[in-house]
Amino acid sequence: MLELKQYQRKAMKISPQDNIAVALTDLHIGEEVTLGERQLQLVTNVAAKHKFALEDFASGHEMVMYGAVVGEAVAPRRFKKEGRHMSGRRRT
Amino acid sequence: MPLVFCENNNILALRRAFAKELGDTAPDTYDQYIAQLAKLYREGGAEKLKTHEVPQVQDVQRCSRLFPNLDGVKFLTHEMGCGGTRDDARALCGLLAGYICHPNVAGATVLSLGCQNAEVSILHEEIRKRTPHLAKPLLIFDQQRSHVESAMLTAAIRETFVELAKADKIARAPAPLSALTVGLKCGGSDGFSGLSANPAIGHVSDLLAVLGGKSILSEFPELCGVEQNLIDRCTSDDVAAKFMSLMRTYAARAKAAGSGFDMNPSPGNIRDGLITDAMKSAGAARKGGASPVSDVLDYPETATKSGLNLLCTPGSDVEAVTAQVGAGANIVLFTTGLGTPTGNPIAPVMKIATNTELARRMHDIIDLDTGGIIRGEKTIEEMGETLLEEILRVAAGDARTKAELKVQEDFIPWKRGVSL
Repeated sequence: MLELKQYQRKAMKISPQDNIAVALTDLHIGEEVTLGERQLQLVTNVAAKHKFALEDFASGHEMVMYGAVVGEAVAPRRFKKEGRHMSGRRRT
Repeated sequence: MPLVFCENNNILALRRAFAKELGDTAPDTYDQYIAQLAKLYREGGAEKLKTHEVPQVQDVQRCSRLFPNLDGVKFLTHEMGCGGTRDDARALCGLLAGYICHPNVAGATVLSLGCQNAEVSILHEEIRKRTPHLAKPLLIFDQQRSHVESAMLTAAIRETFVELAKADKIARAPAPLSALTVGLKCGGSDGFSGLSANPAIGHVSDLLAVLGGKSILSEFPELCGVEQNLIDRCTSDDVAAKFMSLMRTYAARAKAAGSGFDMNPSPGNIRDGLITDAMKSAGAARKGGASPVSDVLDYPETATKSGLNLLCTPGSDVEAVTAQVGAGANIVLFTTGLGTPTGNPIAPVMKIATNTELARRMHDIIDLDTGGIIRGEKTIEEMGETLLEEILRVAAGDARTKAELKVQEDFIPWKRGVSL
């Protein structure tokens, strides 16, 4: 993976309405991430450039990024937890 | 340029002939390397080859300055002009007309076979549509109306040479920013494209719109998922209706061919965190900034309105850039997260890395780095202003892009119809 250790910020939430954020560097399970005034703890590893949940997702729940609906959550169990690496699919 | 692929060989003969005296010549490093390997093989067989060092690649030698005001003599080839649909033949003539009328071009020499679908008369019609009175030399040679090949080519060379000498009398002069048209393109995208490089060139597009310049966003299949936002930004109902109609027609054609807009993102995109088509589209559309959409163009139309123009093209890198330049782009801003060497024969293509790691590793093909946005060192606006300054340096001829130094001149006209 990319050598991004020098990056000061760990993650980025692009628009205020977004319910997923982007990892700017390889992040690990248990790691604390600060986004503005919000702090959350990751419950899975999240590779750089990948997305993680900022709220609890039911499978099929809308993913919002850039302030727009960009797909829906795919969850292995019924709920995706906040701080979990995000899997999604095209919203049909 | 050829009107039909039958003339490609003659174009290549002209390229070889002009390259020595007037053209940019690519480095002969690989020629030398092959010669060394051939020598080693003759001396000691295949075993010695494995350890032989690759020589250092040199920058391209600038053409001799016989014509100091000319940036180069360029030679286009393509695989179209006959054997396809009549629509494709007309679109090809429209694209070539766009290149002939292009402000970066001082004149053109066209080789025609004679019997092809892309007729000389269609080329003339398409030129008139764009420029009613073409104020530059256009030399057309038709092989079936001439005698032996060498007679046509020596005439083409002589007449072209005379026109080159005349064109060299035109010196570079200051121009306002409103005369600039910038193509916006991404390729080899990664999970940072929508965070750093794309919004940075989106800011450039917004700045140009305010200053009266033009920008061109294309790749219609990659706008799937963000149509509503673009429709809302259209300056008139007619413009919005044209966009919707082009998107619908394109989507239906993709489906009829057994594919679909939802085939995006690619497996490489998904591994890199771009997990849905709408996520990729939303990141890609940031190249268009937030300005209103002044006009919507079908391929191969030319941009005439200042501000943001949407041009219907495939997402495929070279086809999209080829079309943007045909629509009048003087410079193309090309963002990439994974790295691509692409360039264009008549317009500088500035490659803009989404992350610093790429910019360092592939420094021979990357012009600019927007990784500072990811690190929080620069805002999108600051980066956009830096980019605009670099664009002005390239436009003024004070800086050359990596693609120009490598003589990377990709040209692929979009073929929409079937072969017949």
